[in-house]
Amino acid sequence: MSSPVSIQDGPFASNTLVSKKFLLIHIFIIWGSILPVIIELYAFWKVVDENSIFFYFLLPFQICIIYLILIISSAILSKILLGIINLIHQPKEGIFNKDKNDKDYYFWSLRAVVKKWPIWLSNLIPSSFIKNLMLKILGIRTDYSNKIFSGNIDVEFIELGKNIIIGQGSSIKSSMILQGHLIIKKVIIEDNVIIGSNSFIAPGTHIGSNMTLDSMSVTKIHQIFDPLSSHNQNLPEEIHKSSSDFFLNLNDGELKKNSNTSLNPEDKFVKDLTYNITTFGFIYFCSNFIPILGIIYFCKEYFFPFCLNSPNFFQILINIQSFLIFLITPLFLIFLILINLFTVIFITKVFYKIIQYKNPAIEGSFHWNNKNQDFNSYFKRSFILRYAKWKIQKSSFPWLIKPAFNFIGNCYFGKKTVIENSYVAKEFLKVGENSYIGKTLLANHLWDKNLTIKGITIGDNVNISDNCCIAPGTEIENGVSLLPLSVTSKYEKLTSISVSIHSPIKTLPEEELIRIINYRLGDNRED
Amino acid sequence: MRINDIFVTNNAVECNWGLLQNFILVWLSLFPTSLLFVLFYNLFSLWIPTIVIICFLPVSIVLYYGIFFLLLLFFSKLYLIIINLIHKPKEGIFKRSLNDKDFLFFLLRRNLKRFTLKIYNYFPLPWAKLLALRILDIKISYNTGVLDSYIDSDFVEIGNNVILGEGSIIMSSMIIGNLFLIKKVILKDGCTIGAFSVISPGTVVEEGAILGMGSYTQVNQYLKQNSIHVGRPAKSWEINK
Repeated sequence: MSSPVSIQDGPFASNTLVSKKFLLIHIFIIWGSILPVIIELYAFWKVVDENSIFFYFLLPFQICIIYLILIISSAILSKILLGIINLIHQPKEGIFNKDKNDKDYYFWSLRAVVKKWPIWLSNLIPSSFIKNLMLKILGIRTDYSNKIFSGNIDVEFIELGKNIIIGQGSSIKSSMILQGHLIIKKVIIEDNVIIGSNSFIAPGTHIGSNMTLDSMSVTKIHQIFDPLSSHNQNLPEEIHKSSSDFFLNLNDGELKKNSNTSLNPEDKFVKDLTYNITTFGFIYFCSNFIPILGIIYFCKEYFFPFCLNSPNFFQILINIQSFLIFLITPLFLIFLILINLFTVIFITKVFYKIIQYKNPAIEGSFHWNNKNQDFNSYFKRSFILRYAKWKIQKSSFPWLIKPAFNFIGNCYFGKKTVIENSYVAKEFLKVGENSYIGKTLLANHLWDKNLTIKGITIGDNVNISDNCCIAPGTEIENGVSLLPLSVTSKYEKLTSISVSIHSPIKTLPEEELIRIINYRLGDNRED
Repeated sequence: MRINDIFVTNNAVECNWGLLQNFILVWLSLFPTSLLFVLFYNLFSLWIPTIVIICFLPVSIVLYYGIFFLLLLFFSKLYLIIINLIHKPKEGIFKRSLNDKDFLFFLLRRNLKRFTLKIYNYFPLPWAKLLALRILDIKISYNTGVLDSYIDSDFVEIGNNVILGEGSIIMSSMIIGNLFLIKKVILKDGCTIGAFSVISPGTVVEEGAILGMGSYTQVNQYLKQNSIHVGRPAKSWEINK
């Protein structure tokens, strides 16, 4: 199964960044986890002669060992930090205000930042073994027989049994943001459970053993599945029906004629190869030139003579200059990676402005057979933005996507807005302040014989949950919350403070909302 | 029991010992790449001044990147051919245990392809992945937009001008309790699959058909030509003009 190019699958820690100070902790963890790697490199350098063929024979092993060391050291370091943080404030379940002054929200965000780097590392390789190892070190009950490689799993308040199979793109959440509240509840999944693709497990769900959940099913908050209660006779004995009643099956009558169902917004590869390769080549060359020169200079002048070539290991620790270089090397690497990212962002801005100057971006509908200037310029812009977006979202600094897009000028994101690992629209997107966007799709264009380009406007304090599809032309006003797997239609307007679900979307009355999420939000802080 | 009554679940099966298989692949492709790197460096340093070599390092690094990725693809393909010679992949319903030969070899193929395709996600140009998909036995053309979707590792046929939405899942295999179903999925020319939708094994999507966002098809479902299908499970709605 191939996985999407632009997002990271696997275990997941929130991108919520309550305070920018947390980034220092993130950099500290990266720094601390690279130090053991240098020691290992030193040992390898001393044992194996660099000019022999044996050196190159062992190099791939070396890379695997470095990867394992990085994973284990980063996990242990973040585990220690988590221990300290938990001493200051014990993590607990409940409903909290989504507010910087709320201690639980503050520390929830801090814990997510601390776990970010080890989780990012474990997602580099598609293997459940590494992910289970990481979860085990971070103190989550799991088993190596669980297949969790492509589901988004929260990394706290989760208990997993044995032989669990989690489908592609599904989210297992123990924390959820809804209408200005943060809900944290423990999720327990027992043995032999199969969870279908693209489904959503809400906080507090308890799934009994041997259950099967349908694709695209959504559970209620605090829902408990009893294995015996929902047994379907039509099916073989091994399968137990437990599709939730959160979404009723869609009836034909529910589809209104005017609510044109929104469709697929994927970029199409237009064969403008010379343009693509020259711009990509230019961005790639310029962004890598300084980092590569820097790394060569640093290695030749400082790292090799003072660190790797010192006669014995204790010399590195005793000699002040060697020791300083030993400590600075990881920081220098982080600095170079950031320079690479910033250069990409800067050059993208220049290119974007040039294309905008030649042919300003316009919204509208374009026919596929009638390829005019606007049509072509649209592809040029999205090609350039795609590389920048890909580069940032894949990097270990996913928070940069917001300031980067604000800087390039294609999108606008307000203050305190959080964007998780999601399929963000590259242009014509306006998001207000203090909003939260989960692993969802914000589409500014769609294909149904024609290409329709229309911007999305999202107001303040909007919470969009996982696996939602926001179609082109959607306007979401302040205070709206979207529950998981809701789909908006083209040119839809969601007004006033409300919670919406379903496909096509509809607003939930308050009694229904309480029935579905099992809680009355607003007043009960201590639950 | 009709096969359409079965739930659409997932096919995220895997084996932990597959890491070893992946490591062998990386080793096989990294070893020649590093040797080539040294060879080229020694050759060029005789003729070309060092400053020029340093200036063009980004270019040469993307070259070595390319060599590594192509070698990885080459060895994956070789390995795949060997696996397929030992046991021919076939459709059907099998037991979900390692004693079943079909399931075991499905796991081997899956593990190999998933790793190679994931590594291709890290190539600077994302379209390199289309090449990898083609070489690893998935029928797909270069003018499709499929990069942000999950595509199953075999028994998938994708026509010209097909667009798959972000997060959509094309499954040609599925878990049914203790059983495992493998059936071919065919997406014909010009069809569109909406974002976050799931295609079950055995689905045939006719030319120009559209599946809406956030809907899924059942096993063996047939989507009519030039019509829009929406819902969970998908139902025919109207003709697309």
